[in-house]
This record gives sequence, structure tokens and C-alpha cells, in this order.
Amino acid sequence: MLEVKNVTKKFGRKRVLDGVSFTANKGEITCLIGINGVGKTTIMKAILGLTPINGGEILIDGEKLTKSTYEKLTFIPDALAMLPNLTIMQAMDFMADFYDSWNQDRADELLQFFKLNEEDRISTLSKGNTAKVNLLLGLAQDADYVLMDEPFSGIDIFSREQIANVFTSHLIEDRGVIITTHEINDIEHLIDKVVVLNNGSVYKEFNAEDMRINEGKSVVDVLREVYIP
Amino acid sequence: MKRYLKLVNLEVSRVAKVLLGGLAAVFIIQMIGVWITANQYMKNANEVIMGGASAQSILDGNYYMSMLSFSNTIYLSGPVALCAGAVFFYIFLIWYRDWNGKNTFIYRLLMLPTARLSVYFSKATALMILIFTMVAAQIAFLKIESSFMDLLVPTEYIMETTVPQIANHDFILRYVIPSTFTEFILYYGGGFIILTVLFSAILMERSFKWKGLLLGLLYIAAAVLLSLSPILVLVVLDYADYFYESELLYMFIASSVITGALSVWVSHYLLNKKVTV
Repeated sequence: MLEVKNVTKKFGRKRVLDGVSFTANKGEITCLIGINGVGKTTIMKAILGLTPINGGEILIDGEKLTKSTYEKLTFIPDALAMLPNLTIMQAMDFMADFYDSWNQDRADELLQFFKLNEEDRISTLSKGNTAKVNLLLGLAQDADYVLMDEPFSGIDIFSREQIANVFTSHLIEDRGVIITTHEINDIEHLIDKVVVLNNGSVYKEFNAEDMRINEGKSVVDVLREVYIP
Repeated sequence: MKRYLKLVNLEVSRVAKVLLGGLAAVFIIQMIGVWITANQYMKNANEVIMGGASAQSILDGNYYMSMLSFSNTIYLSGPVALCAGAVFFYIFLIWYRDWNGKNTFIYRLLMLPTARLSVYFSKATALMILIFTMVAAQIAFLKIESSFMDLLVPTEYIMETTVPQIANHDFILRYVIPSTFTEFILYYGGGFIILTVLFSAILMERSFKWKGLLLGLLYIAAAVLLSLSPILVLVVLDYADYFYESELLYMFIASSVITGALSVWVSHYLLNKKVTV
């Protein structure tokens, strides 16, 4: 289980995260949602140790983040974090060189799934294909938790569909996924848990399916209640 | 260790093309410089001979051609100074390029399942490899340029010089190609310590933004003072004359090593606890 406990983060005097707490389990897709600036990406970065927190703690399977924990986590940022002059194959070699959790069979499968050419240079890829390579490099690791920051940002509808299909495939398997996205409609039917953020804290946490069945509300309906009262 | 070496390989390969291009440019400029210097010499010599003097009189006047005539010219010192400037610029670029641009590579570097200090040392090592490659290439260039000069000027007018002689004669190259091992340790050891101090200042800026920039500048000033502290203290207390020069040098080396070690520790702390992507 990934636990975010009472996390506080300040940028100067501004409190961006104010006692944020939630959990994400393996086998579940947890979606962090909120309007721009509520701290979604900051939480992601805090989980990954890419930004220091001012209070609280983050535990991965009961342990604090260490260098070995990075084998348990994989992060798919909103822009591909790889050298642009590399080919897709070289990028995969880079990952294989550094991560014991790299699974080349899965990488090959993802290459076929996304119909990518491994000889293509990253700098020459379209935005959609760059997003797919980003996903490939993240998902080809045998990591227990997958963190995705806006995976659908700025890409066409067909690429979005293709990426959304990953969530229902065995490529995710029983991993815990934490995702931030504004494109709720693309994955609403796939989300298990929703964590709504507002003013730097968790406004509401609910099971998306329960909400649909019991209250007849979609995730977007709940968001409207929060942001357009 | 394996991952550190892979990171070094990655960092070196990222700069390899620029390095090769730069070295090619340096070589071409220096060869043109040798050609111009040799031609100028031959033109002057011919004018003297045309004026009625004998070739022997030129040599009697000790007007030989050698690579020493080429040193301290813009063609030799200029590219070397530019390379030194490029290396200084690259000390900053090696970090900032990973934060900036469309593909924020620092995400990947800081999330690697290895100590973040490996990333730090891989960058420092890559810079040292870059510098030593340039120095080695410059030594090779001087040998080639020397042979080129031999082709352009008749043998009787040539005074053969060695690479150390040429390097010693040039106001920049004498620091790049030191003539003694002590100088080598002083220049390159000192260079490495400056590198660690600048890395710490950069990481301060990356951790605390504008406040970090100020902190970094203060840190650089403090590091200079710390390095010079034994000498400064002795001068202030008027005890400097009680020590031999070599003893003062050892004190300076010791305080500089402490400064370097402190800088590495500061960088380690910042990378693990403070740096923000």
C-alpha cells in the first residue's frame, strides 16, 4: 500500500499541500483530481522524492522512500523524461541498464501494442507517440506502483483511446496506479478510487462505482459540486 | 559502481559530438595560425635576403623560427582560452540542461535506483574527462603543428622545441600543461575543488531558487575564504614569516581539500533532501 500521511508542502509562504492524506492500493486505480494548481503534480513529486515536503510522511509498503524504493515505483510524467536524441531502442536500453525491474518482454509487447518503431528517434515523434513511449518506459518496469501525471495531456482522441486501453489490459495487471488527469471522461469507467483535492487538501475521497450506484453521480458531477457550488 | 560508470558513459556521450567538433575547430584555427606565422617569418626572411643580407646573417642574428613564435599568439592562446571558457560554461550547463527543455531529464536521473551522489560524481567525472581529453588533444596538436611548421620553413631556419617548452612559453598553456607534478596537482586539484564548490552553489540555486542563488554566491565567497584561511590567519597575526613556503602550501592544500569535502557533503545533502524538480 502507498500511504500519504498528513503531507504538507509550502512554496515560500504559500501552503500548496495542507495535511493531505490518502492511500493507494495495489490492483486499484486511484485518480487524483482537481482544477489546475490544487497540488496534484506536487503530490506526485513528493511521493517520488522530487520535491521535499515540510511535514507528514509517505510510505511505500510501510517503508520510507529510499533508492531501492525506485524499483517499486515507476513514474510517467506529463512530458517524456528521456534524452531526445536517443532512439526508442536506445531509451529502452538505458532503462534496462539502470533498472533491475525492467521487463524487456513487456517492453516488446508495449511496442507492438502502441505500434511504435524502435528505430525512431524520440525527437522526431509526434506528441501522441511521445506519450506512448513515455508510457512504454514506465510500464515496462515490473514496479508495484505506477504514477501517471496527465498521461492524456494534449494528445489526439485516437491516441487517448489507445492509452486508455492499457488500463484494461494485462499490462497494468495487479499494480497500483495513481493518476492525475483532466480528461476524466476517458477513464472514468476504469477508476476505482477518486481523491478530490481542493485548496491543497483532500476535499473528498470516494469509490467511483459506489458513487455512481448509490448517488447516481459521475466523477464530473462531484467535481462540479466542489468547484461550482 | 556499475551504475556510476554507466552514468559517466552517458554524460560523456552527451558531450562527445560537441567536444569533437570543438577540437576540430581548435585544430584548424591553430594550423591556420602556424601557416600564417611561418609565412610571415619566411616573408620577413626573404625581405632581409632581398635587401642584400645573407641567409647566414639571419641565423647569426638568432632570428630562428620555432613554435615559440607561435605561442602567445591569438591562434594558439585564443582557442585554448575559448575552450577554458566553454568548460566553465559547461559546468553550469551540465546541470541546467537537465532541468530545462521539453524533456526534463532530471526526473529520470533523480529517480534512478542508485545513490543521487552517483549522478553528481558522474557529472564531475565527465567534466574532468572532458578537460583531460582537451589537454591530451592539445598536446597532440602541438606535435602535429610542430611537424607542419617543419614543412613550411627550411630546416636551417628552424629551432626545434619540445611541447613543455612551447607550453611554458604561452601565458595560458603553462597552466593547462603544467611542467611539474606539483603544479599539476595544484592546478587540476584546485580546479576539481572549484568544480565541487560551483556544483554546490548550483544545487543551492536549484533547491531554493532566488534565495538559493544568493546563498550560492555567499557559499562561493565562504569557500574561497575557507581555502585561504590558514594563510589569511597567519598574515593577520603576522606569523606568515615563521613558515617555509612549502609549509604554507601544505596548509593551503589541506584547507582546500576540506573545502572540497565540505562541498561534496553539502551537495549530497541538497540532492537528497532539498533539491526540487
